[in-house]
Amino acid sequence: MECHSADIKSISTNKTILLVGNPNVGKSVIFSLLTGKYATVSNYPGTTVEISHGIGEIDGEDMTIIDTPGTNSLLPTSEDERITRDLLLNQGDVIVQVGDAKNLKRTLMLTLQLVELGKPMVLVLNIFDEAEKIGMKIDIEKLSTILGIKVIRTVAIKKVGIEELITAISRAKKPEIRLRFTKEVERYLSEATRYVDRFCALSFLRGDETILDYITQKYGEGVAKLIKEKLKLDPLISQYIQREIAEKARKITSLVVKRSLKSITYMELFSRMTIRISTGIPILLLVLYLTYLFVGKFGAGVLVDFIENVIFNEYLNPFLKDLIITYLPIPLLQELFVGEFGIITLALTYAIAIIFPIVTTFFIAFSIMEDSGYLPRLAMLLDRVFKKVGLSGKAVLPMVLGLGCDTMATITTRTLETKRERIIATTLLALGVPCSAQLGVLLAILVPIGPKALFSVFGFVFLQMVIVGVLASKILPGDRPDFILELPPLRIPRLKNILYKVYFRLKWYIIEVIPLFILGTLILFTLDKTGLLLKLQNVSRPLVEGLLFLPPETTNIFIMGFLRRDYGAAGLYSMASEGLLTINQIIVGAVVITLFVPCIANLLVIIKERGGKTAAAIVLFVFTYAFLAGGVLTRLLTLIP
Amino acid sequence: MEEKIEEILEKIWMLMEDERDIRDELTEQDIQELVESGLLEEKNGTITLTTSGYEEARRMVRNHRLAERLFHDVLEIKGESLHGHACIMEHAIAKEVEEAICTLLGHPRLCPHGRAIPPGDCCKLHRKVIERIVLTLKEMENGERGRVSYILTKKFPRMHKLMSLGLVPGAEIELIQKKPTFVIKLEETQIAIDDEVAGNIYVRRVPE
Repeated sequence: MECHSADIKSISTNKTILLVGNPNVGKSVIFSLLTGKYATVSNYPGTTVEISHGIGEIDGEDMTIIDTPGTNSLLPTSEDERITRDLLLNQGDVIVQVGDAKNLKRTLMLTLQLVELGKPMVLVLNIFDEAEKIGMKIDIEKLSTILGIKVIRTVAIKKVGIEELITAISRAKKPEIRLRFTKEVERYLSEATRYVDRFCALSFLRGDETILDYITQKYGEGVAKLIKEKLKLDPLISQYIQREIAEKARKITSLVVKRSLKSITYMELFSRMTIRISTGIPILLLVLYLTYLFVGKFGAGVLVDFIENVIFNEYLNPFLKDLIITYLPIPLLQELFVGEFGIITLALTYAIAIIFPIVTTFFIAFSIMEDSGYLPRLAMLLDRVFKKVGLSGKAVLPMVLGLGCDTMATITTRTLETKRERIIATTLLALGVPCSAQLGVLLAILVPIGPKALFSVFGFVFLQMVIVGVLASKILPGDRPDFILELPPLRIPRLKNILYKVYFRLKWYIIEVIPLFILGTLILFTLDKTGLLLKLQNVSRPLVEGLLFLPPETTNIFIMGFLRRDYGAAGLYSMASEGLLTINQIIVGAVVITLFVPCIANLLVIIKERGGKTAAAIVLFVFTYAFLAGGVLTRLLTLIP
Repeated sequence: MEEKIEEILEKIWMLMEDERDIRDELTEQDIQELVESGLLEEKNGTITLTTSGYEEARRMVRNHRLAERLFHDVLEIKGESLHGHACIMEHAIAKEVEEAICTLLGHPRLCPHGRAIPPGDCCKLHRKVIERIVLTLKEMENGERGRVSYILTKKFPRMHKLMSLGLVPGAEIELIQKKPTFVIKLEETQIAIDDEVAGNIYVRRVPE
């Protein structure tokens, strides 16, 4: 989820190559091999949400290579598919279509749509080894003759076939195959092609109204209007065309594929176990438990203990304190670095000693789930539950990723199909999903108090998410979302790939986190030194003290929590360990800090993804809701001894 | 046979169903005409259908109600126009078409309004084995194979999504499981879909 969204046109090469293909076929691996740049690779359809681009040397010439989000059709049904379609229309001298060899028919359905663009093409049949393993033989020569373009077979993760691909790109030809439709469709088409090109005409006939924007831009508003009036959208025509494409793809497939029957593999047997209720739910619980052991116990427990107590508190901080006090004789500056709100004693200690180990272990666990292909299975197991809060199982990805970092997760809500789902998912992420660091810190506070406290906090937060989700799904207009998701084969994750991914996610995280931690500390330091902190505490006293029954110093942790959620939790942690809070106060504090507004980074992403108005509404709602819910909880707790 | 006469026969059938007197609704002229064509006869002062009249009426009513089912279930036409469309179509249905429709619909027993559809020969054959040829994914059993006949939805995005995954009429599929979510296998791809979408996918069974 690295950001590669810089202006693509700014790169000065003569030729642009577009990598296109169905989701989860290995485009990103091929992209890395061609450019030497890393792009997020996973076993989950729809991971490439940002467009990556790089430069690759093809036949001695530098070319811009663009990796596009996976798409099944050139009729966009989600935002990322539209991005791909628009790129195809506006850029690209050569199209390299990447397909999964064992799903040849589906690959060809896309090929047959791509040829209508009339651009030079190469077809890559990747993951060729898996196709052979299940007893499929594909006649590449014959396929190449039928399509009139080069067909290359590759096993990208083993770097097989890449040399041939590079040669093929430099000699890419325009495809010769064209689809002929039924008379009726062709009549409509010839009518439309008097004004626009065949691709636009086909897109519109297939029911894609978004193409009108492109027609307006290319041919003028008059033509777009004319097309819209002349060619009434007829759902039947759209089905005819789709059927024709599928039929043609089926025919070609039957001409070039020979199958020999092979028995079901062990991996497939295991895969069946993960999706069935009777075996799937126990496996799901086991996965959760292992994740908890690894992230909660090992990351948040063992690692944090060691790094914080041994490395930082015993060696590093005392040493740095001495160093600064000796060499920096100005008391204000001393405090800036090693005081109560010091950059070293507060910001860096939190960031590196507490947050870093937790985030690292979480990303390792998440990457394993992602690369093994387990996440889509999780999505299908939980679809029914998610439907209750107006989401579909597809929202599992952002929700689970949110347990790592809500900011990252908010970006991936893009893969959800309707605006309604995106708004609900964003709100729930901002409201109730604690990020791994915050979760880790909360666990560190609550576990010693006992299971009751742990259960109250997470049970209450979960309940709020259900309430808000159910209400939102009732209030927001729109239909129940569909759940249609491809289940990729289960694969054993590759260590190298996991390490790569964790490295890139951590890098992204550190670049985002450390400056914000320091900024947050500086703000607190300034507020403290100018006496504004005390004033702020006084102003919010009715809220913090009156509503939540918390000591006024808690205001600090709410301010910190806004800068980074986990930072706030860490503040709560030190207040709790100093014995400043009662158990009930800790529970209320933990709940409010979890429900409370998202951190600055997340807020910025919400604004970017959802727009200012929606963002403001979400934040205002979450803020009010968090305090009200906290107020209710405080009063409930006083009733229970 | 004239459409007008067919309409009258249909009306007579309905009146008989409701156990009402035929004279209530029909004009003297209509009755006369039908008697002359040998479809109606007068016995002991009551007017009843002759054997050929009964067969004709039965056929028309069957066609009409099958047409209604077709429009209602397959084409999702709702409301008042249902009857009107069926009225036009009933006259044009040949015997073999009638059986094809009946089979496609799974030999239904009632029309959308809840009136009985007189069974045809094809239904009698299938009385014992009430096995439908075309059925939705929801009605299939785990492990069954089939070929997609059509996808029934008015939702454009849903249709495109399914079609772009290769789930198009003619595609061969295997139903792997139904709970907690439907999972089907299509070529080498496995696709999970929720029950609402599964109810839109009509499949023709492929025998083992």
